[in-house]
Amino acid sequence: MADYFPIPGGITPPSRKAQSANVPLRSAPLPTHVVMPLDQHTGTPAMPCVSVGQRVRSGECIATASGLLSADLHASLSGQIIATDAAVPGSPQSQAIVIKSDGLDEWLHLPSLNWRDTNTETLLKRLAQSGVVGLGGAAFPSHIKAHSRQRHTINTLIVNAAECEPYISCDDATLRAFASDVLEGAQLMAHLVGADSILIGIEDDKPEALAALHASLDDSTAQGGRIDIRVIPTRYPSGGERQLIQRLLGREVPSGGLPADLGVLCHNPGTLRAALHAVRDGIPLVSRTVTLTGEALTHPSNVIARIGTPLTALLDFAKIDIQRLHRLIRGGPLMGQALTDMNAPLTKATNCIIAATQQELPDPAPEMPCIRCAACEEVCPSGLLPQQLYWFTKGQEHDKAERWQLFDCIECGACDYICPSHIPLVDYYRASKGIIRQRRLEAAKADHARHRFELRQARLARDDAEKHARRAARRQAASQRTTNASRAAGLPPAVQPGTPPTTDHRLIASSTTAPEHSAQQAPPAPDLRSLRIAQSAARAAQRKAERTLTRAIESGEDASILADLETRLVIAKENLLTADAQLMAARDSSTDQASDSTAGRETNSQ
Amino acid sequence: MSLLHVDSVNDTPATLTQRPTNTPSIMAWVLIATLPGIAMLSWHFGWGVLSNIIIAGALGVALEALVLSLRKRPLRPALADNSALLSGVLLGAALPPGSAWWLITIGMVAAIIVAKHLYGGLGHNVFNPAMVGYALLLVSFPARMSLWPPASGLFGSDAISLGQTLANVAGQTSLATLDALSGATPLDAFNHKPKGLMASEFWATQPLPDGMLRAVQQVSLAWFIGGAFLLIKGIIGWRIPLSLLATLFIGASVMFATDPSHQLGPVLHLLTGASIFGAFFIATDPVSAATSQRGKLYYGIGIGLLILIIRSAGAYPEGLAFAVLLMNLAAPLIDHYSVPRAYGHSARQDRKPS
Repeated sequence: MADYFPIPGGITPPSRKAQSANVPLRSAPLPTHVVMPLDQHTGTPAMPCVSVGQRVRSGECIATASGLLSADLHASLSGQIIATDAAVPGSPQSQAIVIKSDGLDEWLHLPSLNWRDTNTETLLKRLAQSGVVGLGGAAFPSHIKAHSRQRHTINTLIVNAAECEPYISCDDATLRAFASDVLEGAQLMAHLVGADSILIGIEDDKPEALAALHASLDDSTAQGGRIDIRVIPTRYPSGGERQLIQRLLGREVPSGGLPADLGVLCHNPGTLRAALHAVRDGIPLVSRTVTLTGEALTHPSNVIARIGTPLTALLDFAKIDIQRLHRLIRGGPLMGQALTDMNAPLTKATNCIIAATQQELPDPAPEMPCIRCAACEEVCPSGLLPQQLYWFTKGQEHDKAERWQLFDCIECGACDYICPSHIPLVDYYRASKGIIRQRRLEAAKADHARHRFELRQARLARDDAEKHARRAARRQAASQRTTNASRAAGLPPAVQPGTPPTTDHRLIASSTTAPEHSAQQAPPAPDLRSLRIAQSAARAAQRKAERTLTRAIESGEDASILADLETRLVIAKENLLTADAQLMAARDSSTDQASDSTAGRETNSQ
Repeated sequence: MSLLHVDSVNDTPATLTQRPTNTPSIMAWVLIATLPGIAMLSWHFGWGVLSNIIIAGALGVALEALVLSLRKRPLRPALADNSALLSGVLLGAALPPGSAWWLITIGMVAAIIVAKHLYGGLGHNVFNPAMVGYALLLVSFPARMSLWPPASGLFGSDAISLGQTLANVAGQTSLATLDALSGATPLDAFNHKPKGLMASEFWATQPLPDGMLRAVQQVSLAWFIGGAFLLIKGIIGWRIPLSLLATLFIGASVMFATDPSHQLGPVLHLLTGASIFGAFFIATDPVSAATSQRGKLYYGIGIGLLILIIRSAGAYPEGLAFAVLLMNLAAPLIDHYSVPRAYGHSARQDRKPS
């Protein structure tokens, strides 16, 4: 059997990794200050928990997660906070905490844990406390990803070491230098989510990393757990999460679903190492490996640098030749973004900085008309029709684009790369997705307003129902007292011989059959069965709302959508309480009635 | 957007079979691929082929420039894409050799101005421009469009001289003289076969000028060589040519098997007329064809069937132009029903997006 499965599409761009990959990993010098953006992760920005002038040590928490999907942020230097609301160079809409180094690099560690005999809750808490996020580029909070165990059975942890995009070699460097850490990190994460097998997917252009993995594999497997290394052909974008899963398992993640739906979680080697550091050594995520490359650098290499280091410092360290610099890119050349400000900081998600010369990455040629040559279709890893999507997005036919599965586009840029008419296809798709998302957000906002109103109604209804329930309970207690009193007076017991004890079932039966008799004497008996149905429906609705919310968190939905889902969950909870109260009231009043009617019979028989 | 483009990657030296990386070079390679066909056509049918192609090509570029300047669009990138030149060359190769200049002009105006630019220019045309020009001429000037010269070669003693060709092109030759100069193509001749005559009897009468059958078959083979080159180069896919030719071959075989005395055989269907030329150079025009891989199969099958129907039941001896135009019309519908299954979708759910 082949070690891997076929995947559709893909391109083979020049790798251009050698210039950084074949130089030993170095540590960047400590910067004089760091700029820590609060939004370095998927989700809501963190909230600063330090004030200006305060002294912090490396590893100290400076901003805490806020909202359902967020992550903590830690000082990457010891020194003084000089701002908590500074603008971030290059991304003015973000806020940052700025720390001025005192040059001492004093640390604040968390206690180290032995993950093999620590419970899951503690480990999850530790991940959350350490601000660990995915270092492959998406920066999804790792503790939330690990939570998927609650709803899914995870059986496979995939280590995504494919690193398929040109230039980038930081995972390669991490594996070459710290293969055993990565393997232990993988075992830790597998343990955490209950996965019993670990698959490492690595492209065949990384023989050194592969050798390092094999060398430390013997030690790791000795400690239990199944680890398989799968060497896959070098082809972009086989390192895309969904593509790698297809490559390794031959299965597709359902559209709109998560890898967890297949029982799979993917992690990047750097993330696994960071997770291990957080647990084993008590060191939060304050540094990462980043590739500094491009022909404008005299000494390209991979470096371990503190988060928040200004890129100028890193580029100076790699001896940049400013004269030759044509463009600066954060990320890879296919999915990355061009940077306008060299003072932008290194963030948790930054895996690569390319300082390219004009000759290396020239300006894009002017866009020409699409001739529908289908080159894009051939390379699309998602099996889409990029030329049709282009047509729809350009013509602002967003609904049509959605029907042609625009949202299954992973924005890998393979179509951009190959398009003979130099059309920036992904730009069109992103713009269209943005417009559609905006519409959804607006719809969600309107829904949210409606749901807030519904929530108020639900609360009033619950109050009402509870009031009724209390009243019914009181009435019943009162009638009980009278019955007891009459019983105490020496009257014969109310229950006739042969009548089964008053269980709930009995009550329902009697209440549904009773109305004919009691219609004249008492208000119509509440329909207990339909109330029970309502109650279980309310319980199901609550469970569903819970599921939807968790899922939305796991898929990294927008905060306002999460807020709406949260409101809906609260509504569902209120509705359940209402149903509970109504049911209780109905039960009380029907026992009440039952005792009333028996009491009536007693009077008649007398 | 991707900051790296295949067009600017020169890490490894380019190979001959590498796919062209930009639109102008795609068009240029298609032009190169027409050379064997044009050479063979000229070899058999004389200077008239070259005059057609030169006039039509030049008109294509001139009309493109004219419309672009009227539309106030930048001239250079659009002219450099070679697409108007290609339309001209294809129409020139399809017209009877030595066609009069005004005939070619009408065809090219229909192709470039009406079929291409009135719809928005390159990439926006619903119909194949060259075929619009051809079909317009076919219905407007049926007599002139059926005047193919005999396959008397470029230099032979009975070849049509350069001077005579130029006179024809200038429009100084009367229709009667032209008629006297021309001979029937095989499809044309067979189309005029009297109903009562059996196919075998018809062929026995030697209805074609000397060497005509051999000439058209060699021309078809030359077009095939150019088409194979386009396939190897990755400029066209195999789906449209294969489905078109296979449909034509299978359909013709079935018809021939049921009625051998009145039907053209499958080999004649493939190798005489414009089948090969059409399958590789006309139907594969990506702008006006169906989009998805599956859609392209349906598109090719449709053209094959329509060619067969028009040739055997229609008034015209050759059905390529109408077949292509009709399937151009059907392409959006085919696209609607042949959306491929995207990653992570079940097969059923994606067959019909609606």
